[in-house]
Amino acid sequence: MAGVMLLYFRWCRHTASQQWWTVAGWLLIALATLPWTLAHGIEFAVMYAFLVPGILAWVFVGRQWFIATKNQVAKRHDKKPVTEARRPVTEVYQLHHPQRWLVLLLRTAMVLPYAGAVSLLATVALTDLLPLIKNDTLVLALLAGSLVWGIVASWLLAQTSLLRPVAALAVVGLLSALYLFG
Amino acid sequence: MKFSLPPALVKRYLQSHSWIGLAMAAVLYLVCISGTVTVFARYLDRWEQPDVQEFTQIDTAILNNVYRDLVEQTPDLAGDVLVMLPREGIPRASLVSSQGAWLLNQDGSRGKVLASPWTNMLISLHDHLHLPATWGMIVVSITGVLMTALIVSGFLSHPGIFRDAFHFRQGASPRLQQTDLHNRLSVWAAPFHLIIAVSGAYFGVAVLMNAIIASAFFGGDDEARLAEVFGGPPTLEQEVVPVNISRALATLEEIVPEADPFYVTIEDANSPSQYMLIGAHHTDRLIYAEQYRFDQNGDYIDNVGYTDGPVGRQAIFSVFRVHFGHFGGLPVMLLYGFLGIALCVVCVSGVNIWLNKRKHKDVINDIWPGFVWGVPVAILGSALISLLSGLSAVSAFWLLLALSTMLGLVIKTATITRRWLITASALLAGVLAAVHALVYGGDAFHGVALLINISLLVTGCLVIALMYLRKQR
Repeated sequence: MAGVMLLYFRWCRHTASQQWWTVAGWLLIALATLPWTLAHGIEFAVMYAFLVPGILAWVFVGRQWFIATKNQVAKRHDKKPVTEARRPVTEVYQLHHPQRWLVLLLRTAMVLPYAGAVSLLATVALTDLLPLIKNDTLVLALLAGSLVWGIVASWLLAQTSLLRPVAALAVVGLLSALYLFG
Repeated sequence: MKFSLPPALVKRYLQSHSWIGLAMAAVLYLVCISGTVTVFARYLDRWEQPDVQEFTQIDTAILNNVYRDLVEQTPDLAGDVLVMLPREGIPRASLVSSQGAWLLNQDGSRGKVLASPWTNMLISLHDHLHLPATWGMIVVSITGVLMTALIVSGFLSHPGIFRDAFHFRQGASPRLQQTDLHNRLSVWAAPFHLIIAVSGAYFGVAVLMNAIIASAFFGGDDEARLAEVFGGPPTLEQEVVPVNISRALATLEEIVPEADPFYVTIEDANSPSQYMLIGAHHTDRLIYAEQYRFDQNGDYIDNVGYTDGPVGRQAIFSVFRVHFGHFGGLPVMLLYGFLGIALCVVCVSGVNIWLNKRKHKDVINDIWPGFVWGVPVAILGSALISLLSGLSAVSAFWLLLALSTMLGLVIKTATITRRWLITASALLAGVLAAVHALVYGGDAFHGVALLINISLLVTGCLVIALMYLRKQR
C-alpha cells in the first residue's frame, strides 16, 4: 500500500527531484513479496505481487476521480466544463463502409494463422536450443508459444505493407522447420 | 533515458490495437464474463443442487464399498472411475464413471445424479463457446493470443499510459471518460490480463503445439510426448480385484502427512493394468494437485512429480489454479472476480471509445449495447429457465442473448436499451433468488445457497437503486 501511495504522490507532483519516490514505490512493492513469501511461500507471493498493487492503485484513482468531481461541481456555476467539441454525427442505419470491414477481416484472417504457424515453430525451435532438460524446454515452449504468437500478430497487423515482414517471417519459419524436422 | 517510439509507429500500433479489439470484442467479452462467473463455479454447483448431503469427512472404508458396488452392478466396467472426496469449500463427495455421475451420501450410498446444467453451460461457454470441444477450445485460446496482442499493442500505442496512471477526468465528454476508464483499468490490471491471456491461451494452443512437438521430438508418438511432459503411467499386470482405496489413503497419510487428498481416480478400472491416482493439495504450492500412484491393493508406487519433479512439470500443473484464481481461498476468488469484471469493462469501453470517436452512427451503435447488457440477462435468464423447466441452459442463453441484441436494434437508442436491459437483469436476479427459494424451500436458506441468493437480491436492489439515483441527478 505504501509503495502504491509513493507512486501516487510522485504522480501528483511531477518534479524530477522526486524521481526517487518512484524508485522507492516500486522497491516497496517488490519488498512486499518478502512477508508474503514468509506467510504463504514464494509461488503465492509472486502471484500476490502481480495482482494486489493493481487493486490498491484504484484507491488513489478513486481519490483522483473524487477530486475531479468536486472541482467539476465547483466549476459548474462559473463556466461550462471542458469537453470535446461535439462533432456533427451522421446516422446511417446500416453498416458503414462494409467493404472496409471486409478487407480488415480478411487481413486479420490471413495474418493470424500465418503469425501463429511461424511463432509456434520458432518458439519450439528456440526453446530447444536452451540448456534445459527436455521437460522444461517443452513446457516453456507450450507456455511461451501463445505469448510469442500474440507479439508477432500485433507487430504484423501494425505494418502498412505486409510484403517484407511476411518474407522475414517466412525465413524464420523455414529455418525453424529445418531445425525441427530437417 | 527516455524510451519513445516514432509517432508513425505509435499510430500504426494504435490502428492495430483498435482493429484487433474490434474484431474480437464480442468473443472476448463473452469469454471474460463467463470466465469471471466460472471462478465461482464450485459455489454455483452447490447452489444449483442445494438439496444434497454436505459433509467434510467420509470414512475411507466406505469408499471401498462404493467402488465394489459399482463393479458388481457393472461387471464390464471400463475406462476411468473418479471419486471426489469432500473438502474445504466443496463439502460433497461424488462418483463419476462411464456409467454415470452421482453425489454420494456420507454412508456411501448413492444420492442424486450429479447435475448442474447451468454451471456447466457457463463453463463450456468459457472453455469452448459451446462449439465442438476441440475447435471451440482453439478458438477461445486464439482469443487469449489476441488478448496478448492487445496488451502489447495497447502499451506501444499509448506512450503516456504510465504518465497518466492515476488520471481520471470527471465531467469530460463520454469519450474521454471511457478512455480514462479503459486506460486506467488496462494499465493497473495489466499483469492480471497477461496472466489470464497466457494461461488461457495455453489450453488450446497446446493442442496445436503438441502436434509440432510430437512429430519433431517423438516421431509422432503422442503417448511418448505426454509421458515426457506429464509423466507416463506405471506398467502393471495384475489379476483383477476391486481396488483398495482406504488402504491407499491410509498409506498416503503415513508417507506424506502434509498431503490433503481430494480425489481418487481408478485408471483403466477393472483391467489388469488398473491403478489408483490420488490427487492431493499441498497448501504451500500453486500446483492443482500432486498425484500419488498406488496399485490395486493400495501399495504405493510413486508420485508423478508435480511437487518435486522437473520445474516444467510443476509449472504446467499450476496453470489451472493460476488461471481461475483457485488459490488463497475466497479472498483471491473475489480478487479475480473484481479483476474479471474490470477486464469486461476494458473490453466494452474499448469499443465504446471507437463508437464515440466515429463521425457516423450505424447498426453497430444499436447492436453493441444490446449485446453487452444482454449477456447478464441471458446468464440470469438461462439460470431461471433451467431452474423452472429443466430446458437446455445453452439454448436459453443464446435465445435470450439474440433477443436482447435485437432489442437494441428495435429501440435504436443506446441509453434506453442499456436502461431496459440493466433493469431486466436486476429484476431477474431478484426473481431468480425468489424462485430458487420456492423450488428448494429450506435448502435455499442455508450455506452457499443462502449466500448466493442474498447476493442476487442485494445486487438486484443495488442496481435498481443506483439507476434511480442516477436518474434523479
